[in-house]
Order: sequence, then structure tokens, then C-alpha cells
Amino acid sequence: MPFELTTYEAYDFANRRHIGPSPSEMTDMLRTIGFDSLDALIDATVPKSIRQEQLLSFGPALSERDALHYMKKVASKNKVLTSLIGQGYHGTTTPAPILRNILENPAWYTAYTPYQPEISQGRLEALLNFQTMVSDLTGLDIANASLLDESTAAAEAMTMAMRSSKSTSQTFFVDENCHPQNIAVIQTRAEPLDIKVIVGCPDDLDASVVFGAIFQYPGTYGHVRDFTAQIEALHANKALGIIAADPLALALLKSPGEMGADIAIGSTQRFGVPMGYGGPHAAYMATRDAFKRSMPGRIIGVSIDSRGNKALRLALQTREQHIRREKANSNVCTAQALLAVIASMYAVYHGPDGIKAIAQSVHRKTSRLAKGLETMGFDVQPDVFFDTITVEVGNLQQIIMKAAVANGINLRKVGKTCVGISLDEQTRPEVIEAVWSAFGGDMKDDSKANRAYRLPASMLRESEYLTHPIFHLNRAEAEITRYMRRLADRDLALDRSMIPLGSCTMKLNATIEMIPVTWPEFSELHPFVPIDQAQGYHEMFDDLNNKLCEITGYAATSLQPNSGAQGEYAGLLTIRKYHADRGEGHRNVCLIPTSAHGTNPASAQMVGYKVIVVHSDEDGNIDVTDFKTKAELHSTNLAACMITYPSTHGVFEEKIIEICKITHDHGGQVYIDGANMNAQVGLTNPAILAGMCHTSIYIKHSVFLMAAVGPGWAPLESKPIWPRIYRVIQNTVIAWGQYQPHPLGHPPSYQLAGLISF
Amino acid sequence: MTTYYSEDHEWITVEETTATVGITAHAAGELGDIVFIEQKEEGDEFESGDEIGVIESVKAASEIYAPVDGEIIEANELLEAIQPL
Repeated sequence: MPFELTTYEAYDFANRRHIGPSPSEMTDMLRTIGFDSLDALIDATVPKSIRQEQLLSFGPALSERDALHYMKKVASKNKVLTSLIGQGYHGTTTPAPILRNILENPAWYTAYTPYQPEISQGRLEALLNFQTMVSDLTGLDIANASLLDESTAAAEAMTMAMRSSKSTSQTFFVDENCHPQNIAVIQTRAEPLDIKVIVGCPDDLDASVVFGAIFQYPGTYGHVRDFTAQIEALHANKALGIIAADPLALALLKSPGEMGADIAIGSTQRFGVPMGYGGPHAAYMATRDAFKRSMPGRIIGVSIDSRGNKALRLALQTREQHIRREKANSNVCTAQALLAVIASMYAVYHGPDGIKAIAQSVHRKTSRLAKGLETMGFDVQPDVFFDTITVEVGNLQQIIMKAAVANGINLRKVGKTCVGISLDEQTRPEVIEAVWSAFGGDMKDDSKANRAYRLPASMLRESEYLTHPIFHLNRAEAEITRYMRRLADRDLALDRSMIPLGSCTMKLNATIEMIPVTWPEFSELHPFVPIDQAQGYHEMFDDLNNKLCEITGYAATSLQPNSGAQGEYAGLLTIRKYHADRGEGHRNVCLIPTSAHGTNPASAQMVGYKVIVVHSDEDGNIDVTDFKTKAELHSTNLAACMITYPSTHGVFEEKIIEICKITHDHGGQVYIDGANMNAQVGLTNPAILAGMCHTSIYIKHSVFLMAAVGPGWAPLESKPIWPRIYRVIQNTVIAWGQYQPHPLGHPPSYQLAGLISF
Repeated sequence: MTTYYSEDHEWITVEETTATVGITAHAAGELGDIVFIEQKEEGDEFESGDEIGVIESVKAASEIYAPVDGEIIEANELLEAIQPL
């Protein structure tokens, strides 16, 4: 029998569909609606006036095997050292069953927002566990189901305090010992709202002039202090107290609730979620019952179903952006659910005893480290610490930092004469010894010796936490594996069925794109490592930026915060700065159609814009006459309009060019919401249409060689008229895909696009 | 005593210099089960058109606007202890 070659390539992407209709199904569908080909359908749907002529120059897609091979090459350019930099990010161990059954399991990572509780009871329970865990540890009544990251959570706490306090002040106090990125984001978010921010020492707080204050616990340089007195003073002046707290420290220390705090925020990264060069991680927020209606983000509540059985669902949603729009508490839409689930399972896995043991071990290791350095004659601060110390080293700073890197360790540069060191659950004796060696010592670490605490008795935690049975029942691997499986079985995710909901949050990630996510070269990098250790990441960012510029037709890109809503916020801030720079800072009106996603008006009001709603015509398209009238009416003050294209109804509205022209004619800029960007790629682009665009990239784009997924990543693009936008976008939100001005003056470090949130 | 109606579904009953403000039965019906009402406090002053409260139901949260200028002399305490109305 003659040997005949087949054309089927076993692993060639072109021959294996990732998703969607097959070629024969497409032919059937096209025939049903009366078209000969997909091209004919596109020609009839997308207005000719906006079609781009040039094809994208990316070339053919790599096969899956080649893509993975390429990723290995890129990964090899990242160097994985042991980072003891701290500053909000710590090494942590993801328990193996959680890694396999949650992070690497499509049943969990392809799930959508639990708006339909009937098919979401599994993850709702996991998130309820998260809320319980946070509420317990912080000693506060109620917690939400996660926020995007600690820095934006801090800013949200500030605006929440402003809404809730009875003080008439417009001033907010920030502890100078807050992590630098927290301080920076608070300042960025305060400015458009005319909030004055004072950064200072908690001892110098004048509670009578502020509506609220935030303190870091432990402080960024290690200080553990009691803020009860400050919070009492704040309450006496009708102001609110906020504490940014490390959840592992709370296992040993007095809780924010016990200090009288009104709001607590922080990151749960160190509860089993890899650092990932900055994210994504689940931030938490907890508050007193009285303020629950003012809390941003999703809250899982316990209710009953039609048969009287316990049922979980999202609660208090009437305060969120999709209902309240510009009157919402915040523009926050998506959460960090997958990461929150991982953190909650970490607590289920370890239980309160395990968490306490980990915390004690971390503290003891730090005590031993400190003792060793003191023995060598160094001045170690502070006296009272949990896991972080700062060592005065004079002009030896560079020598010690370099010696540490040579030993495979990154330390934190603090000022010109100090070195910061933060230990974590992964720190082994060899690491402590290597640090001593970098400082010039030659000692051995004895983990049996020196079990002294360096925490004062007055700060030690006496109250219980994680008392709920769920944190005690699933301690064996088999038990927790079955628990995770039971929960997953209650959920409908994309691994079971199509979910025809939600333009921007579809989780269509090919497995091949998820695989590199847990490689150590990507997952174990601390966000503040020296840039030369993250060259693989930077190569990816550059590549992605270039491709995005080509796709959008824009000249410059900035990889921006943790969600589409944050991308909107950053884009609007840029527009605001643009007008201010040109002496037109009075422009504060933003036109938004009724068809816009709720986050649009919510983001606009966060930037201090006045939202003017434009009506839709009877087909659901923007009513251009109304748009024109309103643009004319507000001509002097028109800052921007926000358009989704194609619209949230999926329509390539014919009048888009006219709408953009009207906006520009009246001095405004056009913000294009890229939620439906997929429908533009290769056919048209925002540059043809308008000014500023945020794009949420989803894994449809396999040509983008990294697991760039989810709303956890909203790149911003702009036209060449705004050459300095990167410095404008000081939104130092830390997570994957963030632009983050390095707090110590190094060039900005970009982090990888985020993981899934739902 | 006369009762007036605003365009935003509020009613106001005036007696000399004191007025009582509420929302119409129609509006309350449209909102569905009410779960929470946020009001301003005694002594708070406002102008016509200002937001003087928020009424929250299971499906929406709506502002209550002042039909006239005035000052709150008494808040309805019964609304504090609200169960689904």
C-alpha cells in the first residue's frame, strides 16, 4: 500500500481548534444567515469607513509545542533568587493539593462571576470561608470577597472613610511607615477628589484635622506598634481609623478590631499564593457592621433557597457599579476570586494551629537572624518586629547587597545606609547563614536555639480565630482534596458548558498558556527584584506592547492595573492630566451612553468628572442627536466621552466616527472601552476611531506568547500627542501587568499580566 | 394641610412651617422589598434638589431628593429598625 502523507499536524495549532465552531459548522451558520463566507459577513457588519487597510504583521501563530519551547527560552532569562525584600510580598508555599486542585484546575479557573448563585455554590462557599478567615484575623465584623490588591484597597478604604465619617475634613493622614506603593496609590487617588494627604509619623497625627488615617501593621521597615491611642483620638474627632495589616502577623498579634480600627485592609498573598512578580493576589477588606453598606467590592451572603435550605449568594449588590453606576461606592467590578479561594484553602489546610505555627516559625527565624547580626556588631531596628528588620550598615550598603546577590539572595535597599530583610515561611537555615555571610559573618544557624520572642506581651494576641469547624475538618490531604472536589462539583464553569454572559470576563485560556504560569521563573519572582533578574518578563512586556501598538494603531502603551475598571480609571486620569497640562484643567464633564458598562460612570466619578448620560435610540445605539446636543451644551467643560466599540450590545455602530468627531470638536478626548476589543482586531482599531483606549486582553490571542489573561490586565494605549503619559500614570498598583514606578528610583518594573479573576 | 408631589415620586405635606416628606406608594411598589433607608440627621440643612437620603431595595438603591429648601427637625426613627417593609 503506497505511503500517503496526511496534512494533519499533530500539535499544530491551526489544525486543532481551541474553541468555537468548526469550519463546517461555520459554513452552515453562514449559509443560514445568507452569506458565502466569513469575509462577506464581516464586510456587511463592520462599517467600511473604519476598516483598516494594513494587515497585522505578526505572521503565523506558533504551534503549541513551539510556543512552549519559546516560553522556556524566555523563562530562562528570569533569574530566581531568594528574595527577602518584603514590602508586602513574601515567599510562601502553595500546599500541593491546592496547587493541583485549584490553581491548575479548570473547574476553578474557568468559572465566571457568581451572579447566578444556583450554579456557583462551590466557589461561593470558598469565598465565604475567605471572608470568615479575614473577619476572624482582623477582629472585625464583616469582610468582602477580595479587592484587587493592597494598594488600591488602601485607597478604597480612604474613600470609604470619607463616605462614612461624620467629620467635615477633607484631609487624610497616612502613616509614613506604610509600604511605599500604598502611599503612592493613595496619593494618586486622593488628588482628583480634592483630598489632602498628610504623610507622617503616627505620633504626630493631629486627629482633629482629618476624616481618617491609615497605619501599616507591621510597618514597612518592621515596626510593630499599637495604634489604639491614635484610633481613640480619631474617634473623638468623628474620624475613622484604618489599619493595613499583614494577615500572618495577625496570627500572633493584637488584631485591628481590638485596637478599635474601623476598617482593615491588606494582602493575602502570603497565604499560599506565589509572588508572581507582583500578582495577582487577593487583597482583603474588613469593617464594622455599621459601615457595611459603604464597603466596595463583592460580599458573599448567606440566605435560604425556595426550599428553606441554606444558600449562598452575592449580597448588598445594590451598592455596586453595575447597579449604582456613578453613585456606586467604587468602580471595582471584578475581584481576585481564584486567589482568594487559594488563600482560603490555605487556611482550611493549615487551620489556626498551623497558621500560628508558621507565624511563630517566621518570627523565630527573624529573631535568630537579628541576634546573629547584633552579635556581629550591627544596629538592628526595630526592637519589636514580626518578620522584618532594618539594619544600619553605613557605607557598606552596596557591598552587602552585592554579596547577598552573589549568595543568591535579594535584600531591600533602604535609604543610603540601611538594608531591609524580611523572612517568610520558606526561609531555610542556609538562607539565614547566607545573609550573615553577606554581612561578613561566618556563623551557623541553629534552629533549636534561641526561641525567644521579640514581641512585647502587651501586643500578643489572646483572642481566637478560625474557630469555624471548616478550618478544623479538612486537615488531611485526602479530606481537603475531597472538599475541594465537592465544592467544584457544585459549580458550572467553562469546563462543563458555554456561559453566554459577560463580554469581558470569558475564561478561554488554552492549557498551554496556563502551564508557564506556575513555572518558578515566572511565579517566584518578587516584584522589586533588580531588573536584570527579570529580563524574561521585560522581553515579554516589550513584545506585547509592540503588538498592542500595532493592533490598536497607537504609538505608546502602558501595561496598567488589575482590571478593566482600573484601566478605565488610569485612562481617564491621563485625559485629566492632558487637559491640565494644556491649561484646560477646568474640563470635568464626561459623556457616557446608557449602554455603557457600569464601571464607566463609576470610574468617571472617581476621577472627579461629572457624568452626563447620553440616551440610546430604539435600536440600542447611541442617540447621536442627544450626544451632539449635550456636547454642545457642555462644550467649554467637555473632558471626555467613553465609548465601547463594538457596543455592549455587540453592534458596530455606524455613527462612531461622527461621535468621535463631535467630541474632538468640542475639545474632549475619546476613551474607548476595549471590552469588546476582540471584535476589532485586524479589522479596525481604536486609532482609526479615537483617542485613548484601554484594552482587556484575553487569551484568544495565542500569538501573545504568555498567559496573558483575564481582566487582570488592562493595557493602556495612547496616540503620539501624549508622549509623557507613563510618568502621568503614577497609579502604583502592584499586580501582574502593572506599571509601577519603583519606589527607590529604579526604572519602572513591569509585571506579568494577571491571572484569572471572576 | 396640603400635600404636593414632586417629579421624583416624593410627596410633601406642609403644615405652617413644618413639612413631612416621603415617597409615593407607587415608587415604593416599584422598588420592591425595601431593605434599608439612609437619612440625613436632625439639624442638617439642604436645598431643593439636594439628596436627603437613599432608599435601598433588593434590586436598586435610589436617591430621595428634597422637594424644597429646609432643615431636618426630626428623622423618622421607625425607619432605623427596618425589616423588609
